[in-house]
Amino acid sequence: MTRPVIEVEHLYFAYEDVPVLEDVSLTVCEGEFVALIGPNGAGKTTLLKILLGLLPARRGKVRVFGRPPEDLGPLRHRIGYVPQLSHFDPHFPITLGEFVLTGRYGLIGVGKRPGRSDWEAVEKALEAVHLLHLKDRLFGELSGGERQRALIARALSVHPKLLLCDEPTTAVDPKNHESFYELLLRLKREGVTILVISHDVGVIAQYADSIACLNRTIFCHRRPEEVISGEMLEALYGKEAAFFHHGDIPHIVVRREKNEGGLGAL
Amino acid sequence: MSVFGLAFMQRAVLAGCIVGALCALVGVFVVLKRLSFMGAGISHAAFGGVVLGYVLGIHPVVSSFVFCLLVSLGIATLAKHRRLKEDTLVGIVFASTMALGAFLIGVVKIRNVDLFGYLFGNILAITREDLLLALVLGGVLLFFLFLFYKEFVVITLDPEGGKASGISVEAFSYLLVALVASVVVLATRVVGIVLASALLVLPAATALQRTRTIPQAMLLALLDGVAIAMGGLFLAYFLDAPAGATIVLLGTGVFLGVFISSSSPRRG
Repeated sequence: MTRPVIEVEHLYFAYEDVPVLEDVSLTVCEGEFVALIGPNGAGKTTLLKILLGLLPARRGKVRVFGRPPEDLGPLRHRIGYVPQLSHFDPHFPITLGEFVLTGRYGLIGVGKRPGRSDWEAVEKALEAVHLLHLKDRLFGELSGGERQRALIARALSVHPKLLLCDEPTTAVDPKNHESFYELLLRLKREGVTILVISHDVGVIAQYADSIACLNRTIFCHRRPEEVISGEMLEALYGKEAAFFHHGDIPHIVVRREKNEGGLGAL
Repeated sequence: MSVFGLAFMQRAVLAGCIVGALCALVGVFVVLKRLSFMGAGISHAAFGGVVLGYVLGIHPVVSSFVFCLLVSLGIATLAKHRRLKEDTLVGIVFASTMALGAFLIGVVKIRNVDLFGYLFGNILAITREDLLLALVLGGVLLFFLFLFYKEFVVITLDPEGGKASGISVEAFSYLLVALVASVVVLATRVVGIVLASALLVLPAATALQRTRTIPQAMLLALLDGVAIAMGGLFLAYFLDAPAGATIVLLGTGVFLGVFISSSSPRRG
């Protein structure tokens, strides 16, 4: 068996007194592509932030590349992180190329200037997401989907061994989802370990090696076809969720409270 | 005798240009990181610092410098608490430090203090020591801005991502706040406590209307900062108007002109 890149055992986390994660255990091995799904507020982003060392675990064991996340040393630069797009000021005065370069700032080191190899890495990353031709365009002049691909390029610019993505396709229009997941598969073949938070259960099930279902705790982590069977999704999203199957692909629809009105697709 | 022949005018123009330039450079990060209100709060804290200096027998520029530094780092530290927001803290400190100054003036019966000069600026009061302080602080500031430019960009653009990639975001945030406090105290010497934050915000906000990248914005803000400081001083001299107010009004006029003539205003 390949060695584990992410090991989480009996993890607990709370914001002040509000428990967010309880007894979470998850192992992701080298070269694996794991999708993390769950309803809003399930703790998915929190788990990612703990893996990145941005939040401290209250209890339990967390290891990334075999080390605690807050003490990764240079291994930290082998992690590519794709945060949610909503997190960014779209009018920040920076070109796409410079934006992608910021991904390498930690790797370059404090007080040092980016060199030619850094720019080469930026261009390669932009090429991978098909944005190289927009390198000198301002971040604010890009479409939502292009900005999201810019975030992915920024994560790729460090040649990551581990890629952590938080809803990386929300602004990418559906016809480009496929090329994004194809890119992930290509990275996986190169040995990159991938953990992706997604609401896109149907699409991601076709690409991921396994799906982990999180709602405060991980209550299943199995092969996609076992997860999307129906009962598992119902257990995750609650009885209020209904699943429309188009072929083998389930689409989640959650019945909301009456005053919110009707059916809202996730 | 020409304007340049006047010793106070020479010092005022020199100080105005140096301080205008430094404020403009730091101001770009202040505007982008939304620290404008913090800048205004820090400058008002200088009033408490000046009065404390008189009470304790310390040079008022030194006391206000130390006081503003402590206040700004205090705000930055407390703002990390989940239940306190930075603008709330600034709102409190803004008033309480001014109150401290007013209270001490009343209780200790300080006399012979040019209050109006401290509040609205008095270019006749700019000394050689002020100039020296501006030069030394200016050198330190340029050194930090040059050396840590990319770190300042990251803590402004994406502090969380920066932290995830191993950059000491907290340390650089403190450093940025300390730099803001330093230039604001310098600005209080030129345009006064009440108007100081304008030197920080106006040139940067003006430049950001018209520039695409941060280095361009810094260059344009610097030019604007120097131009309004010099232009304002000469206008004030010929109109026999208060210098601080003239500089700030000139800066506001330039900002409005650029804002209105920009086809797609981006930020302010």
